[in-house]
Amino acid sequence: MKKKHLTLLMSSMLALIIALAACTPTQTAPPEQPAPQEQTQAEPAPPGDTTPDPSAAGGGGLTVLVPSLAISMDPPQSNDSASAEFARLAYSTLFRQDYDTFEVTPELAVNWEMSDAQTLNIEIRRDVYFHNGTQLTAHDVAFSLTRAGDIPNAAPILGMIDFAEATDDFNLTVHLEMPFSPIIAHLAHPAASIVPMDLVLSMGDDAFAQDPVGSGAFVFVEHVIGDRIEFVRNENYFGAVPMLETLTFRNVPDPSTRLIEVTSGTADIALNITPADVPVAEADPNSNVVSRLTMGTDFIWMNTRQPYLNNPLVRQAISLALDTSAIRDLVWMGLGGPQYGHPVPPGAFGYWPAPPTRPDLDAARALLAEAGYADGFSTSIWWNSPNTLRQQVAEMVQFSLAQIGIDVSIQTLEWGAYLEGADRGDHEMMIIGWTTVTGDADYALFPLLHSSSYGAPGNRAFWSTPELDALLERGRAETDPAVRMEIYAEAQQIIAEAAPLIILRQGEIANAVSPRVQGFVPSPTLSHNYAPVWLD
Amino acid sequence: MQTKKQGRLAEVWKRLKKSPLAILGMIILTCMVLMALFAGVVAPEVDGMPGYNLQDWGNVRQFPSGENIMGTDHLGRDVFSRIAHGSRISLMIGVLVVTIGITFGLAIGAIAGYYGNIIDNVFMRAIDIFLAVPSILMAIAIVGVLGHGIMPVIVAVGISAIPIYARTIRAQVIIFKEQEFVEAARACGASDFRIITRHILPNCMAPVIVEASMGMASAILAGAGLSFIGLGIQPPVPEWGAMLSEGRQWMLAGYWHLTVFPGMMIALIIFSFNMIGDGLRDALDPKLRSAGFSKRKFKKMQDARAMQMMQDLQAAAEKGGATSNG
Repeated sequence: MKKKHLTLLMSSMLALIIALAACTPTQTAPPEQPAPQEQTQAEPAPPGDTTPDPSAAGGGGLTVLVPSLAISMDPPQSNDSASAEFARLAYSTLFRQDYDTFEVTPELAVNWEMSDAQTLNIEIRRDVYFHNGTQLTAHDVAFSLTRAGDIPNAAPILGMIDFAEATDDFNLTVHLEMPFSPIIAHLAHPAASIVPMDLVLSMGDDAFAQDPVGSGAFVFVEHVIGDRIEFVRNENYFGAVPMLETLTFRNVPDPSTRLIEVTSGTADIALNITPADVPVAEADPNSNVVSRLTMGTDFIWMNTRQPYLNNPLVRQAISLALDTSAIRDLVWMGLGGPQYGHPVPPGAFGYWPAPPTRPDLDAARALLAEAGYADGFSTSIWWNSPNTLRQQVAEMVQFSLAQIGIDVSIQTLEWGAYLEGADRGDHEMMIIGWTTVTGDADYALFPLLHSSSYGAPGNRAFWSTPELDALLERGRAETDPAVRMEIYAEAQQIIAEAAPLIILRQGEIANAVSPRVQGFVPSPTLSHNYAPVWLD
Repeated sequence: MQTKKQGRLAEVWKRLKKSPLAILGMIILTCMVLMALFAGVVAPEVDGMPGYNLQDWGNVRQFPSGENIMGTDHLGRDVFSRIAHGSRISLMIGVLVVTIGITFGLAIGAIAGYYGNIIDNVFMRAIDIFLAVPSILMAIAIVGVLGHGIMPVIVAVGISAIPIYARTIRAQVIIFKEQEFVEAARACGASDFRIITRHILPNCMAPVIVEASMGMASAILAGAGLSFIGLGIQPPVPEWGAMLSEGRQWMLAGYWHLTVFPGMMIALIIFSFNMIGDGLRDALDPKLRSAGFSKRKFKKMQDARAMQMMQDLQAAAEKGGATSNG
């Protein structure tokens, strides 16, 4: 009798749960319709009106939710995007890249000239002070660049710097180890941030990284590890003083939680929301989606040291069997731009538009037959857990290649094991991304496809040709932009034909932004600038 | 001997079927087993591609309909086909984990309990160390060493399940090894191995069977948990925990069927094993007092009823007293 009651209770609870679950779509559906009207009402400022009203001074505090916090607050010590973003805000660099045109403009530099292919003379501003009040001089700049040039993590960006020396308080000379024409773009990278020489020497690297002092638009206040980083604005900034009084980065690893915090009004910006949530953020009156194409590229490496994949016909067949636009639509919900053949993103200097590859299963089968593998073969693809977007790519690749008889097994690895295995060349295919942070073809091609970059530096196809090597070396040394364009176009054609990698898409970052935030423009290299941001 | 065994089984069954929850659990479990057996029929292989991985990119994230009774997922795969194939994975994890746990737990528990002293101490302190680490953390660490795949998950969860069985059996062996029939066997010159396997262990089985039934539930849950956090099963294998994890990113967007169905299946299978375990506990040994959830509930209800009855009696007595006074 009593037991029957409990059974009844249990089954009715189960029924209730199912009924509640079934209700969900009807509950979420209604807000989607009225949302667009509310959204337009909530935005009184016309879209073109981006110049702030100085009298309003739209100050206050901005809270930004980020997927991860800076690993190191000493700029050259870590080459991750969160550290780069921190450096961009708290420090200054000699040059700065324009987010839209990707043109390099001077920041600390006033005049500069290459006195020969390996020597750069720079004159710097005289009105720049560190946050602790000391003046920023050429000695600090020379010290910072020499130091960064020797730090392994900054090697891809600044390793070509032999040393820098101050000729007087506001002039310095940078000596390069080899002729390197994209040096100005590299000096605009946050890893080349200027640190105060005396302080770093007296504190030591580790203590300085805990309590950093820069000369950027925002002054570092506090870093609670794993939780948040706080800034206040730099009232004595040599550029335009930010309108925000305070800026807080809060670490929220789960993308949906970041979005919910913005829609519920407890935060202002959720960086990098997941593609599945973009329509949700768009429909919500408390958030706008601010997205832009980045200098990032998502692609699949094919390890040319492995059987089957060492055959260019097989690699071409694989790239013909994959429908990259379907992958972009399903995995990234259409975020990102089309990109084919080579890893230079559209918009970067030296980009050559490769002809789009359209999926053609018959042609792919014919190529496989020509290569002698008409019956197919078995191979594998790696993805790194928990990057579920890459898991979906792997599943789609497996399904697509099964159509031409290639049996792909999917292997899951943790990030550390993933890179280690790939550096050794244990993989067959692997999914990865690369951000051309300098916006120059050299940074996309030399680390990824030069023969000196096999393994850990970035070339995980273990593929290059003497011809391509020579082109990439010439591209670095050549100073005439027109000639460089030609060199890189040729290099990209070689790569697209040999297909050591399959480009999936040009990256795009989508952020959920509260309607009260104005002037936020995401950076294509993901080091966003909050100096021009103000609040309604 | 044979008839006596059957008599005992029949008695257990008679008591078990009195518990409606255990029967409900068995019905659910039977459905799951049938689903696992016929998954290949429900979702057959097409051109060498398993039925749970047939992608239809033009038909993604469809809500449940006549065509796809549980809808389709983010790659256009039929959710019901994946659920059906997933029941094989879950049941396999449950059975193999419990097998590993019982095999090693039985050996360790029996040896430790029978020989006592130093051997007991060595084994049990080792077990204590195992028990000091939460079993899911232990499983995560083992999967980290063994790598991804179903087998590493089974081994990891299996190893972390050993201590519970070892302790259960040790406690039973200690009770039985002092009994007269063991003394008698020893006096007849039976070897330790024979005494343990033929005389002691058959008598220890009741709590082990109960523990195994509950252990199935926790093993399946642990397997689903590991898959959920991205350890364990290699995609595209449709493990329910992995399906739940994959569906999670679509929750805000309103695609409830991607999480509700796998979540419901996990809940149902765990519910069924727990209910069967509860029922078996009562059926196998009426003297054993269950500490399970349902039992406590019943006790409370009984207490409440007894209280109610006493209050009624009191009220009646007072009423009776009042009338007699009047």
